[in-house]
Amino acid sequence: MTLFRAEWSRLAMYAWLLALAHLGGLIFLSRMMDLGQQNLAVHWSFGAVYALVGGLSGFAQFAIYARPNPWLSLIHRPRSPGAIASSLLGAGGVVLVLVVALPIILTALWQETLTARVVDTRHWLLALAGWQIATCAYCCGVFAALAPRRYAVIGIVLLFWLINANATGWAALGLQALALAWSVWMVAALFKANRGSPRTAGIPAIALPLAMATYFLALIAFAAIELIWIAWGTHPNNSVPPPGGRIEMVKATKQERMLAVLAASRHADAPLLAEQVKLSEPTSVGSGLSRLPQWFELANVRPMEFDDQRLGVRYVFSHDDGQLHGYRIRDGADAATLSLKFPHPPLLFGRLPGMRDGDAVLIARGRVYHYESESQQVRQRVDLGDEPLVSLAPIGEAYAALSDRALYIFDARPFVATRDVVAPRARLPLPGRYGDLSNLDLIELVDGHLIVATFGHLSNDANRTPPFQTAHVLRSDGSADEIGRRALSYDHVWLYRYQAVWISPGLHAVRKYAKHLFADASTLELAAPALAPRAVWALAIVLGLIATLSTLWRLRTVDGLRRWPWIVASGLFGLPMLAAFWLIELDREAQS
Amino acid sequence: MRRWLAVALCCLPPVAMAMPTRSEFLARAEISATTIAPDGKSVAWLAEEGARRAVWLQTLDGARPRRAMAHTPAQELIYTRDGRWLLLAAPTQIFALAVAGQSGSGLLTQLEERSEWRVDATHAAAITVVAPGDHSAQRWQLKRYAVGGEIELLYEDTRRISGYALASEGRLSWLQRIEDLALVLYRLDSAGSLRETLRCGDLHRCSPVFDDAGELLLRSNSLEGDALGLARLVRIDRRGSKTLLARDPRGEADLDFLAVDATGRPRIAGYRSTVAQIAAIEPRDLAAVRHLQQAFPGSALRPQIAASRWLIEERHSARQFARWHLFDPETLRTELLIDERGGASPARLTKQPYTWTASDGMRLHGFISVPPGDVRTLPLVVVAHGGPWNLWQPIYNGLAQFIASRGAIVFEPNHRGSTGHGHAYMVAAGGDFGHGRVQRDIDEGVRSLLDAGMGDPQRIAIVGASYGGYAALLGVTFAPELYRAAVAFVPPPDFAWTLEWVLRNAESVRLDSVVPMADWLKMLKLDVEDQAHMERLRAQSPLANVQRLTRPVLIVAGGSDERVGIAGIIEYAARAKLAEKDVTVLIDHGAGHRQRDDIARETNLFLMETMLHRHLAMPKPEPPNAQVIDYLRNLRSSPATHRFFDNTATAAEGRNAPP
Repeated sequence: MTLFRAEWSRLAMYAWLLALAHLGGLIFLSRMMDLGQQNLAVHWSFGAVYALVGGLSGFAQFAIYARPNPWLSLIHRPRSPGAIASSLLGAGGVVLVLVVALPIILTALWQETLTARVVDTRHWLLALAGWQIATCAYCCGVFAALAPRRYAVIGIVLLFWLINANATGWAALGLQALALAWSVWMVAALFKANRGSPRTAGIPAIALPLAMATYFLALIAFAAIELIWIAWGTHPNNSVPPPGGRIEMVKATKQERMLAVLAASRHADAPLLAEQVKLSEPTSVGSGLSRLPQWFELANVRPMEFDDQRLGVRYVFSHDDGQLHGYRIRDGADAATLSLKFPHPPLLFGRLPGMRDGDAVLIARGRVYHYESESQQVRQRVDLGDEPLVSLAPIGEAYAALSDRALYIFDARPFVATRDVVAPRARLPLPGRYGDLSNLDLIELVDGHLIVATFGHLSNDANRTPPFQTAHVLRSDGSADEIGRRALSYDHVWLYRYQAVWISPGLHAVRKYAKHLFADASTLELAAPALAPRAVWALAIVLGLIATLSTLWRLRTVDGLRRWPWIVASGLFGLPMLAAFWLIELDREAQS
Repeated sequence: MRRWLAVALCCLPPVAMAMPTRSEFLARAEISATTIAPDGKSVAWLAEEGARRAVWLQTLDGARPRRAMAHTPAQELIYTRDGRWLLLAAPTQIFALAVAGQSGSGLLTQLEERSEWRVDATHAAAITVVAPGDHSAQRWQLKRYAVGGEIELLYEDTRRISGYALASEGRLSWLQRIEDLALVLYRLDSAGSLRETLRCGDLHRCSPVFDDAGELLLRSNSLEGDALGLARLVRIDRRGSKTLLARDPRGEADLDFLAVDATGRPRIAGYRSTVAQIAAIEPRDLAAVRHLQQAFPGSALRPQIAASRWLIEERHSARQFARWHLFDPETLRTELLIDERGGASPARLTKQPYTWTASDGMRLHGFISVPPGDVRTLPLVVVAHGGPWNLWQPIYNGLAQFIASRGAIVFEPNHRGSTGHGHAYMVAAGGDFGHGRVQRDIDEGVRSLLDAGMGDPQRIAIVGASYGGYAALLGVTFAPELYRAAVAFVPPPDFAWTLEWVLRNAESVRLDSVVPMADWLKMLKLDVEDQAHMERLRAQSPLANVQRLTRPVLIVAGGSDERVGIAGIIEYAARAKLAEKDVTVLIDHGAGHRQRDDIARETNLFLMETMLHRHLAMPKPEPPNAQVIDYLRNLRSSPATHRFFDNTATAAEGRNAPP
């Protein structure tokens, strides 16, 4: 407790200054905007600043102790290393409560009590999230100060994990807690007299992030080679793409994409359809959505608000009661709350026929709602059940809605002439996974639509489908015919496409698992990955064997307890784990 | 009559006339609307001034006109009853402009789509508006908007309000609403209770016009007492007895308009379906109307009645722009007020009514424009009207005049199904809009002209826009022995599909004028749910019969056409390409059903002229200017277009042909 108090008094001034600066910044920004409704990019920016503050704090705090003499005098105090670490890290943690969490809580309190803005439970939890991120980064900073330089920065892997993970809301808090615990484990592994030799129980805490960091370095090296390739001017993305490949289709016009699949078709109608494509102005149906809003998520896919310019009212969605709460844009005073309780958090996008000034379209998964400014009511207009919609847009005089499973065609008249829920005229199940969808182009026909789907989004990624195209005629009566299907070739060799796999299949799997940990499966990311060629697996096995045998050879004189975990880990995670082994065990062997 | 016409016309000496340029036919009117104050002491008009539209005012005491507002989106203007306000009406709003030196100019009301408004003749300065009360028109409201801000709800109904009349004290006294596809007329007592007076179904109209001390003047086209069902003005007294007040004296035309005085009382009836004429409704106006008819023979007049003077709009089939005159009904003196373009407006051919008898015995109406020369050797071009529920009128038609200026006889048929000739005439089409009765009316009209010795049988073409374009395609597909070529602007190659397509789209809501469009079509024997009928129309469509085509076709279409789906035209072009037919299709992807761009309109004339030159040996067109060539380059075109432009490139003085 004495050490904690002493450390706190050392850091208190710094903490109060940072807290005041943070509070001032939040107050200023809250005057400019409703921070609780900002999108993920804004939240990431805040998270990055908190992580930076935490990381630098940890590093600065322990850089003083990390020098040989102060470290010896610290570690040889008449207390256990664990108690010393707890006191020092505890003081750092309290500093971050003051610096990060308290200003967020005070700002939320101000917004809740003195403004008409929506403050949900999830906004209060941002204080916890900010603190966990900052504290995790703080521990990584501490680790960087204490660890040998050759792997001091591996804590950054944990921070990248937080950015890359799909978990939202409570799951995101859980994930942050896990990352925080891991970072504490990393620090604990080194909190001993000889910091060059981690505790045996702490080696996994360092080895896995270190192997992952090495793995990322290898991928970055490939990216650097690709940059040189691009600069050279022969990369398919930046030069004339190989014929018949995915990139050629991505670069093609809508018309060219449609004609390509029709040219490869032997269907009797293909020539007539091709002539029609030549004279038409095809439309594309697509979405800028990468994921859907989740209940109680800490950030927002997009701002959860819209303005009724006619009435001068801004409506904000509350995750706590599922309703839209209005306040006046002019003076921020409370306005009406719309009675509808949304079954899912809605997003503002799309367009419906017959909309008037001030009206808006809100889409909550598979349900489309029309906010009528005049009556200040929200009416449901489309119900596709649980199929999340990602696009709703006019295509000529009709309307198209794209879900993660199908394309729907709607007549425009019922939207204008009635208030009822409008049923789609026709539905075409997507002939592939939404996550693989690259382009969806269509033209109107006398009896329906010609729809050409190009799959192969990120097909250079090992997790994606082999690229292909399909052409369908979707008739007005709802029936559909496949007119053509065309396989596209890959634009890169397997060695490039599966680099993330063959370098280390184990780490590739860990990375995927970590990304989706605690998260609801996002259907927008669902893809149909291609089976990796045998050559990929052969190369991976060879590299795994090299790693295993190298470890085995290096540890041939070491006893089994220390030896076998490394050998198994090298077998599982390949060369990156071999690198981790070399970097960690270098000092340990020297010590022994 | 036909023989007499041919004899009379064949003897016209050929007159050497300089061929007017295409752009001359595209000049737009500079005055788009005029109005006279109720006291007759001032007039106002909207003037097109380049890209903007201005409001001009002139007091009729010898003062010079002055610009009262430099920029307005208004398309109509009219005085309030007290004459102190000028109402400027745009499609989305009505603005009240103070014109008596007072302050307070400002927005009177916004107008929603499907709103209908008129000046409230029972109030010093107000309008009445019927509009849907909500987004999907579940409620309809009749409101009075007084200048100054007072809004009064006069009536609200869950059924659509389709007409009304106000008693002189401003109370709603007559109401017409739509019930089960019928127009039902109610009298309202002072307590506001409704008492049904008249029910008009089956496309008949009975629209309230004016409450004359408890008796109603209404516009009717019922077949009761009128076998043709001509639109006419009828009085209903308190006992429900009807008295005819105004009907076309020739017995051919629907009532086209009513000129009312400041109290809203109709004073003059106008007819414009065969011979343009006006007729006095009240004896006090007989002399004045007779004088006007004599003073402006052959002109289509439209009076606006004020206390001391009338403002007379004069249009003529041979004159491109209107003229406005001031007329004193007491002294019968007429004074020219506005002559747009003055003498610069070139005189064209006067179109003449033409009547023929169809093979089933029905008398049909139309117009012909005959250029000088030996009528037996002149090319003949049929200009079919759009709609098809529309008509050609005895007023200026730029397209017909353009063709006639190139030396062709122009025939403008009002086939059965056309409006303006009575209810019976319109419904006589019986939904037979394929290769059937309606198209035969056109073909038989052409043959009757040939029989009368008018036109060279080897040099006949058919042109038209929208439904007129469809008729052109039908003509060359099924009567190639008659027509040598077709030019179709925005044509539906499959009428049945186009109807179904429109009914699925928001455009059909805009077309729901009185009853829903689908029901309206059903009453015209065009039930889109009658699959057998639709299949028959489809089977008879130009789209399904591309293989039969033996004559050259030029189609110009708009890619953003909200009335005629472009997909039909594209499929027609694709089928023609695969069948190696001489079909040229040009698509302006930014254009809608109506082409408003001047360059595009000039291009259309050039293309048509080229087509008529090539296939009817009409005069060679003047080369297109650089703007037209640029415009042509940006159109999407069918492969046959290259062939079409082979000669055009030469004509364009060595410029590259459009792609």
